[in-house]
Amino acid sequence: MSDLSAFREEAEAFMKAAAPAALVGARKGRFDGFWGGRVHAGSDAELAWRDAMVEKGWTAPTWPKAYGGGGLAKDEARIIEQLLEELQLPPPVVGFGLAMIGPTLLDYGTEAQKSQHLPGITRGEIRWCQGYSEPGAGSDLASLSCQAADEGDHFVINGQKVWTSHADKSDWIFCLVRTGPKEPKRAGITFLLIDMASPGVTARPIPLISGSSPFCEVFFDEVRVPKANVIGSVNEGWPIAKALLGYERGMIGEAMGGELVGVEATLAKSRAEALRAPGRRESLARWAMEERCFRVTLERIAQQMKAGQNPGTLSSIMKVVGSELKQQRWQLEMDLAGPEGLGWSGESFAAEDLDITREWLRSRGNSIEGGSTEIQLNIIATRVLGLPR
Amino acid sequence: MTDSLILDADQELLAETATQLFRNLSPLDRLRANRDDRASTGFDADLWQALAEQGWIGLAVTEDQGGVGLGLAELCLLMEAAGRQLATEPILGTVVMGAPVLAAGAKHQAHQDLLGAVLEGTSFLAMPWEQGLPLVAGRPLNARLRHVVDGQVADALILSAADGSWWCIPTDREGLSRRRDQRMDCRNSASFDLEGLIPQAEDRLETTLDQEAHFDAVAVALAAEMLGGAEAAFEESIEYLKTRAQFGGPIGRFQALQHRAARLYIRLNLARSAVLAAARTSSEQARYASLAKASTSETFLIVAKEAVQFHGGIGMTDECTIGFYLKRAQGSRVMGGDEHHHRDRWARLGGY
Repeated sequence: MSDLSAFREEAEAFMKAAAPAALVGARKGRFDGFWGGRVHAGSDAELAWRDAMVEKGWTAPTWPKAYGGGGLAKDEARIIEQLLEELQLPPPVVGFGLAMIGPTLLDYGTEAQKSQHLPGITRGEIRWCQGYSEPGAGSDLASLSCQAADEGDHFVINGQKVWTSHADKSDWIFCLVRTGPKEPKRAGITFLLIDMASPGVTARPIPLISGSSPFCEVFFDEVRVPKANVIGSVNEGWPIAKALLGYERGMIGEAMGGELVGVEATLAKSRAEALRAPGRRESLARWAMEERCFRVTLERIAQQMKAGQNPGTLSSIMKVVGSELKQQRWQLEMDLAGPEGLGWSGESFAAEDLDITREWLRSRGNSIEGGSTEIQLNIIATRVLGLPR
Repeated sequence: MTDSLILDADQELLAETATQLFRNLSPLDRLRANRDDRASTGFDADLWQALAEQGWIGLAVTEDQGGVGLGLAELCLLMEAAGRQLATEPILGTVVMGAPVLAAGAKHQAHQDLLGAVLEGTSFLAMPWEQGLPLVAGRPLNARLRHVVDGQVADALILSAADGSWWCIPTDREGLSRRRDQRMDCRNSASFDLEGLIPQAEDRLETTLDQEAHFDAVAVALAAEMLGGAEAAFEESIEYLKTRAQFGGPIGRFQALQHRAARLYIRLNLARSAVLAAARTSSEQARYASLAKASTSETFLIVAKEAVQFHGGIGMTDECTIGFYLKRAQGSRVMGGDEHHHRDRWARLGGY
């Protein structure tokens, strides 16, 4: 028996024994699970599952053991991921700590920063949010103006962030702040970690066209932040910010691959009547075929990476296609629901139809957030196709 | 799907060799010469001999029948390379459509001899798109077989009968007449009238090869050819966007064109995934075949139309080669089912 299959057997036995009964079969998706943090307590089952996996270091399988990780190789970590899927268990801890700031700290953080922050992330004790966009800096992120004034051993922050997911529930924020002059705009940006409990930090949720949302605005009013919280060097945060965007795009792409599986079969069954209306059947087939192409492409990228080939800028393609597939999916759901998709709240509409309405509205943001479609097309045109800027 | 979607070393070599061969021996200028010389066979005899020497005519023929015993994945690599140069050699008719059926069912001497000549590159096959012909030994057959690919040089027609059987009818048989098609897309074909043709018992091929599965394989190989054509048209267009200067610089700097080019690039990547999957899948073969043909049918035509638009006025001239891709895109799209046909089939196979 190879080392890998031995590892697999051992891991499976452990996970089966450790998983609380309430969570077996309760998996909803790769990024649906215990978000942790000081505010969100978690159920007893969630905490028990978290504790068991933390013991092994398997909430962050590939991270070094010294920081609470599992010290596993990539193929071993993939087995953990596969087992969670097979046993239909939710991930023991989820969040932007594991997916975004953790990998960034491993690449760019000092020893002290890694020791301070990574263990709390692996245990789901500290919840992180991402302070990138500002009212005046969306697609043109580098034009951000949230000011960090140098006051010796600390910075004083004044300004605003927007589209900060879950800021109202988060304990720390990783933030891009302006420490240098406005021009050249990428040269004056610093990557800074800020404790949300600091005096002068306020987070406020933003209602969307689809209703309430995890998005917040965050205000900084004379917030003091120690200089030890700078990742990398002052004024040199832009490359780090971009590296983190790579992790983010990867996460969005992975998340999208899974959630569209099974949609075609479900609609074919539940909307058989509506599918008889003119054009509907071909619309569903067309969407499902595009979705299959997308899924095969994701699989192709995974195989290329495993074979040591570089899939290049395919992440930009996947962001564009994945977000449009999601939007088309909800458009299709709305069209098949007809007038039943027009509800906002209350008893006269079925709960699942009310969900469709909200999801349809919410999905319009898919092609805006995480680097808009237009930005991705710019990237493809200039970096992949080599068209002149 | 869990089948491999990346080329192994042998397949990389095959793709590279084929691409080089067609690039060297099949320049696009050839299309004009073939079109203007109606007496020609419509393809290049030297190139066909080169293919025969590589053993590629028998690419999908088993080794015990004299072929190299490879499969659909390799056929697709050959077709993609041919498609890039819009090659007119009878690969579709002979290599993809005809030879695998003939090889599977050639039990007696006449069929064995024909297969031998086909693999040597001296005889040719063609298979009409029409399925379910009422073929019965000794019963006169009347049928019109329209625009049979590579039919202009075919020595025999491979026919699929209503009872699921396969037949091999020599084109010099009494009761069969042939007219060469003059097509806009430079693909070679001929139309056949069968009037009182008498199928002989020995015309029947001894094979139980599933007709639908074979037509699916043909559709996938054609999709690979279309992918090659679409890629080539796209690359030529990107070069043009980088070099054509207007308003004081290359037109490729304009975002209106950049985003359209990026969209085409995305489509091409998805179509490539569909073709790879269809050529290699071990499950849902019928659905994947429809996926590949639908995807490339839509993509090739959109790419080719955009390619003409990107080229502007010069793209409308016969002197510019880009128009040949447009013609081929529509020509290939309507053969073996367009995207509407295959979406309908996809839905049916999915139970709705």
